[in-house]
Amino acid sequence: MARTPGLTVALICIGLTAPCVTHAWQATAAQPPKTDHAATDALNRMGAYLRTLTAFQVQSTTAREQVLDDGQKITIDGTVDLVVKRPNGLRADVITDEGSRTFFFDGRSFTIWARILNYYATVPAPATLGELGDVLSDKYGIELPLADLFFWGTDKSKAGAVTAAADVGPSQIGGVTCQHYAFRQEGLDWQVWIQNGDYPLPRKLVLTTTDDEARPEYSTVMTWNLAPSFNDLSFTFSPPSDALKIVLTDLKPGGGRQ
Amino acid sequence: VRMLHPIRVSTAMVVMVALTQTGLAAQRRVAETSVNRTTRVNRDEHVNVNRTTNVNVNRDVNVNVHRDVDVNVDRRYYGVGCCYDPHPIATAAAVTTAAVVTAAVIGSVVHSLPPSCSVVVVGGISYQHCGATWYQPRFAASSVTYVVVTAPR
Repeated sequence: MARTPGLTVALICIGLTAPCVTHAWQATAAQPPKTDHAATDALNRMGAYLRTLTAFQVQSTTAREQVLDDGQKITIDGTVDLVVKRPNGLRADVITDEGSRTFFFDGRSFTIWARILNYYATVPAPATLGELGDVLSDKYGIELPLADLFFWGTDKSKAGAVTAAADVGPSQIGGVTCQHYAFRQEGLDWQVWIQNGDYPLPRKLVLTTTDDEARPEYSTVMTWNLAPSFNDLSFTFSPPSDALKIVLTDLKPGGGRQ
Repeated sequence: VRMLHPIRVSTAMVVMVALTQTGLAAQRRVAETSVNRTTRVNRDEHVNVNRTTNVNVNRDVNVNVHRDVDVNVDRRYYGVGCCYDPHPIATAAAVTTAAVVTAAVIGSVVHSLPPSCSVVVVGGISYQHCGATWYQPRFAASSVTYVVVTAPR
């Protein structure tokens, strides 16, 4: 991974003082958009590799910052256990301090289950995971956990939105040697740690929302299992006898896809 | 699936906004969680959707309507296993919300239920009957909210 001299300067600065870092970024901003092709190539390679996976499990820890009215930030920790079978199976257990949600998708319907409250809602779903993300986001305002895993390497990826890309250097995430990359795009700075070698998987992701003055962050560290065990029942919700069925609010009643 | 009449839905939206603007619902901004989502369509539209729904993204059962409420209050709930934690602060918050909504206006939205509700299933959809008021629990994005409805038939 060749580095440009400019980036080396920036890295040195990071180890020093905040004003120096600021200066480095300002210098970057003053120049034409600075894109390290090693970084964008790595992103593309990761996306292409993700598309080759027919089944996978990701267990991750997440931390999401919420900003209170007075600007104070509160971190909400959680875990995600995601099992995916392409093209039409998904199960995700999301547990945070705010509650528990399990998502099921079997190529026919989508279910969200609030395990503690024991409410669930089931709606018709498109046939593939690729379409599911759009419907959930646009029609119901639901974002799949670790949604980027479903976008990278597809035509829904917004790689073109990246305005700056840098190869930060090697890093150890959970004992795995990764390469650390940093990207900027409108309203968002983000970093991804990609496993070195033949399995270029994202091991860590950090998002900094830059169009909010409090700059809240979301971060997740992922552990991968490329040979998960499941059967078709894993992706279909079987409601407990005392579970209560409720409505999932359609944000676009009368419009959008079913 | 029984859906609310559109007029009721829009009333619910108005009330939700009103509650938000008066600070009754904790107005929390959150970090983006997807690199690809933020710029996927119209960013502003998505942000609005995000923040509207995330106003209600709070703990199950009781919304921390006051930001000075101890964060730990709600966590107690998870050891309880059901729908209402009679913790004094939680109760106070819920009562405040209910009082402002004033005699449970049809279409208004609350984030937690008063005590002593019973579940009634009509047409396969679950309602909560609390005193004289009927609530329809719904998922608004991933959050559970309760819309005041007329008695289901």
